[in-house]
Amino acid sequence: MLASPPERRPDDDGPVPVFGSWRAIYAAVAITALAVMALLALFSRWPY
Amino acid sequence: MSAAPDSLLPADWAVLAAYVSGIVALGVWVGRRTRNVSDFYLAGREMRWWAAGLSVMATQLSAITFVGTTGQAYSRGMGFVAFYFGLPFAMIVLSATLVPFFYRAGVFTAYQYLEQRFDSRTRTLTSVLFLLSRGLSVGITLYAPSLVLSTIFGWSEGRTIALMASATILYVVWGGNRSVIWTDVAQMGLVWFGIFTCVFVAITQLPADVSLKDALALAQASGRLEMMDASTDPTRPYTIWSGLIGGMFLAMAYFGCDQSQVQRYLSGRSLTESRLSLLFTGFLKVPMQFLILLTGVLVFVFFHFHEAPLLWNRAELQRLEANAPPAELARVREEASASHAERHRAAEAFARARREAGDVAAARDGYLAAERRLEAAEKATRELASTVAGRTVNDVNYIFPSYVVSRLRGGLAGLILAVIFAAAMSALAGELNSLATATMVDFYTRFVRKDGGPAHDLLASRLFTAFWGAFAALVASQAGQLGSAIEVVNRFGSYFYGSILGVFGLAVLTPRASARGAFYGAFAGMAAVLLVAWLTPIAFLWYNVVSAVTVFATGLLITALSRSREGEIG
Repeated sequence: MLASPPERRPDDDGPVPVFGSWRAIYAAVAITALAVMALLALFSRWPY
Repeated sequence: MSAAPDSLLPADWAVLAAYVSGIVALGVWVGRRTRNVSDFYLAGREMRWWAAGLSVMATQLSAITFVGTTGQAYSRGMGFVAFYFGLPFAMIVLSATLVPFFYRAGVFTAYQYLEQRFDSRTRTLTSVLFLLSRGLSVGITLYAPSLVLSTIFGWSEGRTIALMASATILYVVWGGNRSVIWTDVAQMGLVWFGIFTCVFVAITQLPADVSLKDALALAQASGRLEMMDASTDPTRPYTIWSGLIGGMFLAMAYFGCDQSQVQRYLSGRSLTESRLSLLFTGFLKVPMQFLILLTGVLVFVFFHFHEAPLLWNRAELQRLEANAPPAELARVREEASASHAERHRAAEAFARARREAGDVAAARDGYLAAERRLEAAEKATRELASTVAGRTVNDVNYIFPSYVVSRLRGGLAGLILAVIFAAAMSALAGELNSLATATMVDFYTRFVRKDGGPAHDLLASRLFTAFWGAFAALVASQAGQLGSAIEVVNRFGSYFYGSILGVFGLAVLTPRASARGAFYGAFAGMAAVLLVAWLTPIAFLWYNVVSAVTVFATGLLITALSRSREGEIG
């Protein structure tokens, strides 16, 4: 029988690193992605 | 116009040799701690988020992405960046849904989880689909860059394939995932350094009287900066919507269900580290692709002011010069030269009009007319080359490597070619490691030898890695003879990627979905996407949406029907 991966407990999810909750982290990543898209749009249309 | 050397200098060869030997030495050195299958498959589950995240990025970035997208930006603009718009959102969905399930299930492969959730045949089906698609495409991962690099190096394709494959196989066989991840970290560092170097050098190589703003204005006038196509036409390949929705489904399928990616982030030392590694990738991917495409656009502007070859592929150019009717060849050469000179003058006039507050609109119109004339001349040249070769000649992938070799000096060309090598080897390394893991975990230890013992299992895993490496080299070396079969192989994956995603969606989103619903739903998804590809002109980014939704709906329907029948019988 193949050895299992090193055992982990369900509470392995350590403390949330920033922003207090995972929901806030996901929101930050989504807002950043939208901001990057807005910057790309600005870069495309900027009157150089 | 300045003439350019077209071969590598000793300093370039030295940089390339230092890269290949350095990366193999690093892989072997970090792999010395690999003592069991847990180390070999998941690097002992001790990776920090940034290392696993860089490895995720490195596995995804193939060499042909690097040279192909710069060439695409040169010839058609930066619209391809839309392909990645959905990726950050896919990373959020995966971090919140699939990753915790994988992590807490304590699995080596994503498909193991499906046996826990559904049944063994669903696991076998999805793992077979992975081995088929990834096993065949790994040869293309090797073949595509070797085709370009062989022309640049003046080597045979076999020699380039042998160098890349043997160097990668050596450290992946020895150190497994730990070697893969740490070499990926080094290679991604090199790739980022190379990208910034390319952008910087391309800017510094602009003529003294052409500013960066002038260069961007030229690129904008030619349509090369357009990235936001808001069209709702589903046949257009890269729109905001196909990028956001289709790209999100594609990224969820690839990062969530493809073992070559799952294995990278499952090596995180905690669930938090695994999640962060994916979010880190989501954070960096679009800016990274933007910079790669911007490099292609700056190379496009660079060749407004410097002589460009008649064809970028040196081998095709030699064939054209040797075999084309002399009068035809002279005609296309003369038209290419004249139209290039006209565009050069028009670009200078445009920059001058902007600088001296002249008639910018008229100068812009003059530039656009010259650009269209040159595009027509380039098209005529490619058509003549295609006639001479007896097949379609498309040398977009050769633009960036040709620029690197002919225009970068002082070891910089060697550095950028090392970056292309790094992109190829990092993708190959992750794929070999994951193919060996799926073969071993999903098949060998279930159907061949269940109780081999730790030493036997590690040895078998290494042998499977070597086998897949040799298989990749064999497919790559024969790919030139396979012709259109290569395209079939490339499309093969896109036909069922979404179906596997649909099965995983059923697994984690619907506690009531049955094993039968998932199994037959997968076939319904593949049939749906085959029909859509066959009967409609819909762009490929939508395929994964079609198949994932079909699997999900069919799986739920079959589950409901089964339950009602069981209820009737009961």
